[in-house]
Amino acid sequence: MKRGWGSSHPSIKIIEKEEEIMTGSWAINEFFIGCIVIMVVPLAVYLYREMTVVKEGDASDV
Amino acid sequence: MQVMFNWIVFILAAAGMIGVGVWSNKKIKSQAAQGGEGFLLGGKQIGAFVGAGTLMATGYSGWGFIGSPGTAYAFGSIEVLANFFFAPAIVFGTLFFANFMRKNAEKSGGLTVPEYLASTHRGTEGQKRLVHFFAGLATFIFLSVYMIGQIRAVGLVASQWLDISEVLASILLIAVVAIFTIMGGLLAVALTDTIMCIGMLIASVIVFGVILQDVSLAEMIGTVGQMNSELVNPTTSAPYGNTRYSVYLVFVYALLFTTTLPYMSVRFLSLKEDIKIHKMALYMAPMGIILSLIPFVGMYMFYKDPTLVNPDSAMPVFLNTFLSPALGGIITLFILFAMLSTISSILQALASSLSYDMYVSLGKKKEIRSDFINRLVVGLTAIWGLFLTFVAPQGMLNQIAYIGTGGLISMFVGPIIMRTIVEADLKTCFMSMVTGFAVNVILVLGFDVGWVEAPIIAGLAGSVVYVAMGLAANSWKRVPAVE
Repeated sequence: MKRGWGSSHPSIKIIEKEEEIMTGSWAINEFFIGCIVIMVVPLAVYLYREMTVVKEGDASDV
Repeated sequence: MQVMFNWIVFILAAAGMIGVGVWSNKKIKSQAAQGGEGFLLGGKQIGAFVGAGTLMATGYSGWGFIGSPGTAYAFGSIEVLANFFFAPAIVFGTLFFANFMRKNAEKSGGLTVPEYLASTHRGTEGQKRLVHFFAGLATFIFLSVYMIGQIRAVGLVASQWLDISEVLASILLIAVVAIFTIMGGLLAVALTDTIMCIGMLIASVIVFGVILQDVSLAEMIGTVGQMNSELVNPTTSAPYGNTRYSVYLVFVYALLFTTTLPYMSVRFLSLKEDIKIHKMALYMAPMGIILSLIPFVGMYMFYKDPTLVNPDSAMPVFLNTFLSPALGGIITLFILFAMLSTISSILQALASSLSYDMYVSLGKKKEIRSDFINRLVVGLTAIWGLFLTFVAPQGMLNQIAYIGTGGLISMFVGPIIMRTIVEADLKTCFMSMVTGFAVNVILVLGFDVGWVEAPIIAGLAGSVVYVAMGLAANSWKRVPAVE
């Protein structure tokens, strides 16, 4: 039986492999990626803001 | 014996909550910000940690602990992801939007979300009152109906926990919530929310720990996948949509939910003047992740027993089967906390829409905004909620519930979020609210569009009207040339 284009296309294979890595579920993978994003973004904003405040403080002292 | 233990736990918890109400009352009375602001906005004393706790506890209602595991049992990993989206939505909504609202409210003097809308747009006194009243009325109608579902859920869980009837259980728990809200206003609500949030976090950690003690995540996912691959690698986003990517709309919905629904966004107005929002977001992020672990219970229950007749019983069966009775009883209290924290926030927003928004906008003087009336109306609103739940005819309420909080979100997206782009006038604000609401009603009742998509599309329609009319009124500039 002739296989459809979708199932044999290399990019689809990559997606299927992606599901196999990490947890084996794309939805759970997204969940864990989301957990990293939700921690990293506020941390980056926090560090940026705190560093900006320190710099502003230094400038006002001068 | 077990029921007696539960009663002791309940009495201690209720006494603690009422104690917080008494303390909050003293705190807001001792502040200069008396006469409305103290009660309605917690004297603007809410700091980073309490702000984080109250937003997360209110955002994660009882659904997260009962409904979500049930949905995960029936639909699998898609629910884990969908439920999780509330965490980044609340965190990012706060991180990028809270300061804008807080500063605007400070400048214009809005004490509630409806008043914030009226006071942050320019126009005549009559237009201001119209927008204030309309927004207050919509808040009252839709949050009243939303509260019914929450009261029913509390009654159901508490009746089994305390071995009493659902009606009595609802009355008992709503009475506790009403008492601490009457005493301490928004400050008491925020503080009790934070305590409840800590309980919810403990519950999440215990529940997830129990699962991991029995089976690794990889093994559980692998086994569930062998039983039903759709539960592990879903090809659609059912029950959230027909395509695999529809689930991402839940994030957009939750973002709008956080920034526009009055019982959520009123917290932005009550934050301390010198608060560090970025610090608050840093507290919220891990809280959100931990609370998002709960739906794994549904997948675990499917792994253990795929034959449950009622998926919604996944969490109760888990508690009864895999935890000791005492621990199960404590976790049930924390689940009740999740529901009560949402109810207290809705109750407070509902009461203020009646005692303040509609009252003031009908032409009553602002001095009338005495604490006494605000407190009295909280009590009356609690009775109103119980009346709607157990006495009122349900047919019409079901129709209103169908439009639900989505209608409220659709109305407020334009005036709250698009205000960051255009400084529009009150006519624009009003037209945007009407458009958002009307489109939502048409989509839900006429085209059967789902509760996730409808407010997003309707909110977008309201936003287009807001930006277009706002720019036109400003001679195609973001800010009007002359105020």
